[in-house]
Amino acid sequence: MIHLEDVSISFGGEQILRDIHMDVGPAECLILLGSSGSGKSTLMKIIIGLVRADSGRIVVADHELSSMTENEMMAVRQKVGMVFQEGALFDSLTVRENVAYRLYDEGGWSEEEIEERVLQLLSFVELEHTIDMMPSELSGGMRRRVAIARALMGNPRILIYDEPTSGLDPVTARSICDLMVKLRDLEGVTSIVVTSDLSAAFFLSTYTARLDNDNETVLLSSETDDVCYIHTRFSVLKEGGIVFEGNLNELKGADDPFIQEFIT
Amino acid sequence: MLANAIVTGLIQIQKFTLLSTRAIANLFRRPRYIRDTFEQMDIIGVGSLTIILLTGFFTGAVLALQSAASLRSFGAVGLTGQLVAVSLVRELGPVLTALMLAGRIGSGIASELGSMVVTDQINAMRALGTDPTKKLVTPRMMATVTMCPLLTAICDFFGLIGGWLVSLYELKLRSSLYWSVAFDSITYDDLIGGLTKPLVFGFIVSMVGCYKGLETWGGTQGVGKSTTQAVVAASIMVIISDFFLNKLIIELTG
Repeated sequence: MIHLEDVSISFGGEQILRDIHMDVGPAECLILLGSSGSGKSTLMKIIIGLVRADSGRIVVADHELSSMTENEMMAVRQKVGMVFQEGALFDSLTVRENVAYRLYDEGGWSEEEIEERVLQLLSFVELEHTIDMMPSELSGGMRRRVAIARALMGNPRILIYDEPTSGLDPVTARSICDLMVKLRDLEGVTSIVVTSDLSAAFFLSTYTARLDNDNETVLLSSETDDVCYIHTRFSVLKEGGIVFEGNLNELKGADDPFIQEFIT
Repeated sequence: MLANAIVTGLIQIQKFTLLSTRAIANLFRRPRYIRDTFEQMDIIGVGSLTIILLTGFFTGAVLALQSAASLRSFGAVGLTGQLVAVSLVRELGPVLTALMLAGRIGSGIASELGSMVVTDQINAMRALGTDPTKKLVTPRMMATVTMCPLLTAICDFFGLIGGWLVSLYELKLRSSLYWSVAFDSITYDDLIGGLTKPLVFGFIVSMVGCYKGLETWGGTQGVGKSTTQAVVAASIMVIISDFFLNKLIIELTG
């Protein structure tokens, strides 16, 4: 779904990312760890085409972004959802208008169709009651959940989360993680998660969502339940380069002192 | 140091020109955000009515007071209407309207777009597949360009009323004398010139506001900085371009 080859970028003579290689398969979750200033957010913006890399090849959902114009990229971006840090909801629009932004922009949708689709997505993030509220009336966690609902409009197969749980209390952060796990395991959404919240990262790599016999969603943990493989990998960025790639166990067992210091 | 400043200046001019070109080119490309344009027209046009009305009215009144003092020494107080009308229509109406819009609209656009930049809303918009220059810049540009001449006409009209009231009650002139002298003195060329300049001024005010807003960096402090810069830059550009536009109009109309 996402393939990066030799991607490099520098700003004002300073190398931000160098020779990045990355592959993320369908329904896979890649967690990108790294200290602030390591180039994580820039990498996300490159993947969605918001920032152009100086060199390298970027393929997203079978589209070669590196050779596309800004206008061509607009069409690709509609297939990729991005949840920004703090949500980045449009202040002047209601929750309904935020979530339905893509539909209003495309045009040709009736108000009933829009309402139905918005309610469907808001019920997924358990925020139906906020439909007529303004973003300023929502708490930090609610804003992120509305942002997830907005990113899901149009059923993107790829979701990119930029620090989805930063600054949230553990309970709210957990509810966001639950949503991310459900999207990965039940909807088959490919995701890249940039985070510095290790507990959220470990949660994503140890929990999986399944449907039980009553068609209810249940979360199972690899530590306590009989769960085999959870489709999550880690990459660690350091000073613009990837210094580690692997699963949770490999991450915990890594010898690199930087990684050890980072995860403890 | 100087070389750096020159390079920075040239880069800014290049970016501003590119943004302006894209804003104009968007008029011929889909999607066109007609609803957003009308919303902006309401905010910019209707929303600015009060300040433009007050500016026009009191400028006209002051013009009548001041000019009467000079005209009296020539025994030509009767020509007050002419001085008020010509000054307003040719120069003060367009420039004062543009300056008021730079203060109200230029700053508003810069702070709104600047806040959207620092809270990632512009990136979110691009990530959702929308070109911010189409959705945000072109509607604001179109709305300001169309509203500026209308507001200028309103400013001129209320300026004439202000001048008339001063002439009537302070200078004790007959209403018919004031109005006939005022209307007779305004030529067709004055009207064309007086209402063409606001098109350019509207473009300058909106584009400077959009440019400064979209170039914002550095959090909320950056938004404040962009807002101030937008007002200062737009006001100066209006005054400078006014000179060249006047020169051009004089050349064209002989």
